[in-house]
Amino acid sequence: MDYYKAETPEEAVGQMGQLTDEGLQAVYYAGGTEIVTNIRKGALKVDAFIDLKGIPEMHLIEVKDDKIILGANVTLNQIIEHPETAFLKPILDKIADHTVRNVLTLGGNICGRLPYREAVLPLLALDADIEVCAQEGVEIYKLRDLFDKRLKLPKGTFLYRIHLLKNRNTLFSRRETEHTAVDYPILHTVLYSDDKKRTVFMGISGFAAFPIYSVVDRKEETAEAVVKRMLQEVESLAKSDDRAGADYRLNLLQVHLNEWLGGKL
Amino acid sequence: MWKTELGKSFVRKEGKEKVTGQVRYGGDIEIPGLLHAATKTSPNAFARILEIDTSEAEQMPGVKIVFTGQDYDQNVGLYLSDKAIIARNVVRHYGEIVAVVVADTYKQALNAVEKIKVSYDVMTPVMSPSDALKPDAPLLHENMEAYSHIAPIHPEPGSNVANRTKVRKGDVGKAFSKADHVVDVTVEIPPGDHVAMEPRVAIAEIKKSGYVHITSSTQAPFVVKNLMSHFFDVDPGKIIVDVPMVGGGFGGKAGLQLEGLAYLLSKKAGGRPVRVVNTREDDLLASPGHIGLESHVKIAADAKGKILGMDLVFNFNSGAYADYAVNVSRAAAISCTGPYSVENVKCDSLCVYTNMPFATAYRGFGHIEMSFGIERAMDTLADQIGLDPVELRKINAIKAFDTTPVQSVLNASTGDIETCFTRVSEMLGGNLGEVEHVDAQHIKAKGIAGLWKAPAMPTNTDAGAILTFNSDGSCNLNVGVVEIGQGTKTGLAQLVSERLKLPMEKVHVVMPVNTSTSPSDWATAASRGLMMAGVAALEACDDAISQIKTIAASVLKAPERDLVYEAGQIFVSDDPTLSVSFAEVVLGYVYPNGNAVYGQVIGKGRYIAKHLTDVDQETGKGHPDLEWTLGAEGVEVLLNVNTGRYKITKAVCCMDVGKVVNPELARGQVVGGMAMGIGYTIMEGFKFNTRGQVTNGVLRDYKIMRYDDAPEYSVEFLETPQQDGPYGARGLGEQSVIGMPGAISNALSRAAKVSLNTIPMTPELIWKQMQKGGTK
Repeated sequence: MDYYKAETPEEAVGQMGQLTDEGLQAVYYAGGTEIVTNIRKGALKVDAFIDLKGIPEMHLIEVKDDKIILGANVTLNQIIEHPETAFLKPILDKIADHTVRNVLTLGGNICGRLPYREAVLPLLALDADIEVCAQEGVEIYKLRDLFDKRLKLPKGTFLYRIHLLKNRNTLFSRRETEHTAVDYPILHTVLYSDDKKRTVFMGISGFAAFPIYSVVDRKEETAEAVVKRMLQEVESLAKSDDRAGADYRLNLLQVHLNEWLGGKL
Repeated sequence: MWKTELGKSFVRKEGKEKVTGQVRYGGDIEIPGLLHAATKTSPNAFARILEIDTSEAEQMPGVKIVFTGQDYDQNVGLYLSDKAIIARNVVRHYGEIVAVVVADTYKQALNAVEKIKVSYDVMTPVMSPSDALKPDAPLLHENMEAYSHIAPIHPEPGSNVANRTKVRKGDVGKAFSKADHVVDVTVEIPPGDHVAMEPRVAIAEIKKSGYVHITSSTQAPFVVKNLMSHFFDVDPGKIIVDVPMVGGGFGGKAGLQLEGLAYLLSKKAGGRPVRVVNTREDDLLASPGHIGLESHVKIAADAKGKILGMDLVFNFNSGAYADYAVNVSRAAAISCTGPYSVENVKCDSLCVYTNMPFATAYRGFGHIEMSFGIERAMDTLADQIGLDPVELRKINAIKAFDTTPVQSVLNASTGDIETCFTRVSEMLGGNLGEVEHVDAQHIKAKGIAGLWKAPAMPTNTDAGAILTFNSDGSCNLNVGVVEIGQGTKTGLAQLVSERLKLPMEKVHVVMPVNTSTSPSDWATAASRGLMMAGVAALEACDDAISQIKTIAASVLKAPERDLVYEAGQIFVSDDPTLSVSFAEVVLGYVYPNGNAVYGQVIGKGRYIAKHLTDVDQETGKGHPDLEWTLGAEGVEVLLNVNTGRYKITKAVCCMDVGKVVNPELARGQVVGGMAMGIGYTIMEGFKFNTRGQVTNGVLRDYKIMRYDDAPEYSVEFLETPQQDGPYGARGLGEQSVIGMPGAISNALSRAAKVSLNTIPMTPELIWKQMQKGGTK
């Protein structure tokens, strides 16, 4: 397996294009928490890695007025510990464990193969924009436009930076595991009520085979009716696996929604 | 005056090396020319091996040999020779090793393993003891009658029963016919793993002289030596087993494990040193884990709650091979009633083969499993009668001069379990039968369990101690007990310090064990190290003191009876100005003119268990139990009734340990056992798919307890002296694990108002039971 370390976004996409043209299978590499463990298991076989950790701006958390720009290589712990992004802590500090979060990157969590991608939930809730690096240059997308079960990046491109508006309302989140907390979620729920747009966001991970989100226009509906509608929308997607059954997942979602109803809206 | 330091919490002798990473474990050792092994394991739970194609693997760079089951046609086994060294012709569990590559580097071995092709004829696996006991069940071991075994176990060829131990005491039929209350409880425990921090490792090298050098992460170096001699026909004196420190054992590293394989690999590789070190995955699945159980407990009691009889069936799930599991099933039978005095007992304890990863010893050795069913049944009985669960246990608590299920009489050293129950109840704030509604979602409840355990070991279990001295008068204690994290060697040093009246810093302990230089010691298992090696160490001290006095008597020109000693000096008792130091005599006394006499002092001490017998095959009658440690445990839980999620908020234990030698180490052992018992109860156990494959065979999925799952622990000790123990001490290493399944399930069952009789007790399981509605 070959290893390349890019120092600029152009170099990285260029390298990817070249390797692909040569008929080789290459992957972008950031924190490595998934890639390294999958290689050890023999579950991932590729010809080359293109390490993005040499691109300096991808490691930055920049705050300008009410805007936050997160480089995709920022680790979860950096976000958790940064005063301007600490509002994401209740969601991010439940992913993996502290040691892993020291290297687990935001971009890696969102773009990885594991079906949870929990870090995407608050970003979807807050309607983030993403910068994607392609051969032609950097392009900006709405995260919600590209995310469907997973982040559907154009071939050969990579997630470069994420733009957020500083959050005003509180993100509601609850996370359940089969038992001990350091485990994959059987349900991670993020709910966000946008008073200006009169919308309610629900994002869930661990519930189905992929993260699901929906944005509901509140119009004149009661909170209870909104919740009922959101529940109905996802009901049939509940999965049963080794960690929990579909009916238990549904019950937990109901409990989360009830707790949220009890607390706000 | 010498002031006793027994009961003082000295830090463990090897502690600084451990926490600074200076300790070298088996995996850290480098030997020039060392070869490395990697394994190929079975993806099938039950299959015939049709062909193993190793041709491509053999051609890979660095590969020295490829080893398959065909390379060695004999069986091995701890108590029952039911296992090929690696699978031969048939695989009986998922993850069983089918081939091993030995190469110059581990990476080369791994690369070559990928080139091995195995074809199987897959069979339908047997996935529970009850299925395995059906008359038409496939036989896992068709050739069982040909297996050799030790006399105390009783395999039943033509079935999947590797051992049946029977207990028949009194008249159970009569007891049940006149009972006012009868309860019938079934509990289930899945097989799982110990998850010791250090994966197992063995290095073998066969020297040209015929000496076999083994370095191993074993708890039982002398068992390894003896079994290797037996199975591989090597003189026992030519097998040298060297054990550096071991990173946790919990029973999982007793017996014969990777050593035999490493030996055969070295033999095939021309005697070169070969290391076999488990990956975490092999450690979970290819090496043995902990046993499973289906247990049926019936208790008959009178109107006041006095137990009249117990009728018990324990179907232990041994997995594919018997290993220690046969003796686990036997040990559970010997103490089958739990710590309660029962006149009429019938128990059939079976060790049953299934196509699951196989089982060996695990902390508690059959008692944690046995206790779960008994303690659930005790609470069910208390509910039925309307008695406080603590009261019911006190009414039936076993005490000195009662008889055990195998009719052996408990002696005056027996601990005071009644007080343990009282203290545990008080530590939890009393009112154990009641629940508290904390808020709309949360209920707080408490649960209690009794525990008892005697070592399950050969009747001739031994220990030894050798005490040598240094020029400054300090001593070196050499025993065959392995340091596996339990801290026994520090406790032993305290016993020596006390007996020689020598400060702790003058007592050195040899940390590694080497079977060619350490005195014989059965195994570091069964919570017996401090007691047995302790008695031997005290005898060695007495022997050394007697030699020291002989020398001092002639130096001081006084009879030995007039000599006293303290802090490394020998005095004439009626004239303390006359004295000589240990330093002057322990390596022989040298007169001012240079003449020397006597030579060095070498203390020797021995121990062998006394009065033990095997149990009768039909009735179980016998005296297999050397000493009993009794205690009680309890927990407080906080349950969310909407989700079934819960937190164990408090865990308490009161145990009668005879004498607390080192309070912090003792507390550490007890808290460690409680933590292990909590993890075992609430989240551990292998999961299987319909093909019998383990679906959580990696630590990403096989969850063990973390610190944030830990409750607040409280531990108290009682000290009813063990009269034949060192300064009254008895075993305390394993016992605290035993009561946790009972205490937790009792608390959760009370909170949820349902019967929770299955491990692991996941929130989902509780929620589901609550949906179905209470049976309680």
